[in-house]
Amino acid sequence: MILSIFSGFAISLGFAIFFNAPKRALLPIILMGVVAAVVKTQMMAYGFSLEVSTFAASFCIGLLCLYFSAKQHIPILVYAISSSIVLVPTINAYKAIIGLIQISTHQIMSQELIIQSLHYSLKTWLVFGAIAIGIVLPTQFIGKYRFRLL
Amino acid sequence: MNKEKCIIDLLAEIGKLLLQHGAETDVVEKGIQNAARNAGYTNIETLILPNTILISLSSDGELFQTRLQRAERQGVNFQVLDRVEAIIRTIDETTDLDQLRLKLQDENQLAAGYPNYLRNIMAATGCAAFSLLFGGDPYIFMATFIASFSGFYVNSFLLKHYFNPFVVIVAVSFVTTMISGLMTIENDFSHIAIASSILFLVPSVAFINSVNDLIKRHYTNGLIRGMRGIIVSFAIAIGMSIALNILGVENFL
Repeated sequence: MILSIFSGFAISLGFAIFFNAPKRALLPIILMGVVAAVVKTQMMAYGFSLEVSTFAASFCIGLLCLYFSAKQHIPILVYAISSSIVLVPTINAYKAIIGLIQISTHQIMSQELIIQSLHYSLKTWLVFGAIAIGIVLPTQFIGKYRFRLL
Repeated sequence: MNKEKCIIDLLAEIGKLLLQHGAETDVVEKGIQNAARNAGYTNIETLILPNTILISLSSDGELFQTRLQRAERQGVNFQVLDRVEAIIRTIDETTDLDQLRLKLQDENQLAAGYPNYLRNIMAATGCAAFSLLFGGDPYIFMATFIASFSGFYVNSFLLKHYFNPFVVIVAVSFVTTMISGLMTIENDFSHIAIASSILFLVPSVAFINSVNDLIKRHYTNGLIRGMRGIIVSFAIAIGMSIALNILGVENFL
């Protein structure tokens, strides 16, 4: 828990400055990054799958983005990009690439390797889709009512 | 006539700045339309492609002014988006449009962000903290930090000399994988170090913009941005696979 809070803080602050985010947007970005990291790790600990927990975390980011974007007059993208880096499935992508390299260089007869690498690459694309759709959905459906809600 | 030329030049400049620094199509379109409405012109049509803007402005319903503007470079700088949006909100019918356009063309003042060494350190810290999230120990943390620090340095050095961005990505992912692989070659967690030190190259802006555009019915732009993201991912994979083949794939499973 403390580890995920710390790493969410460091990752979102680091990438916010990497993308040159404005100074007044830094605090909201850190808040979103910490919330996303905690939601994802806690849901994974309770036994949900990687895709579902990533989708829930990015949905939280999308909701918070709407609030802060209406309040500070900064486009949603600025918050969404820097804080959703926390959710990128790097290990899966790495394993997929390693599998592809192994298939292409030698070990052509191993079917297990091919299926494993296909599994990891499919999982990577699904998680990427979950991140993007989770961020975009709140702006489409709840955006109409935001002045009533907030 | 003269005033219309001024306003259409200003609108093209605004659109180019927004498009060059990573805004999605909807933001660019709304920005141009808001600026035109604030200056007192309601009859405006825009066509936005990933690197071109076409603006057509009609006055009295008869005279049409059309302008085509290209946006050459593509980078991500969110402070420019913030400043341009703030400028759009200040426009009204009495604003001196020529002076405003000169202010927008002054790129050094507009695109001033954080100093480069701070961006370098913070990007490396972000990548290193990512390795903690996947269960790395302090040694992995330091190795990731050093690898992504030097990778980012090479990245900004090559981009300053205007190489092709995809060639730059292949070179940077090669350098980063070599450094992190050499530092953790005997370690059990070497895959965590390699996977998280490459993270600052991931095309997250392209992917999220692509889904955004597709959902908001800008199909062409969404497809092209998604394709760009896929090409960048393959460029990263090419650099990584060259480095891993040199170091030996069996050490990094």
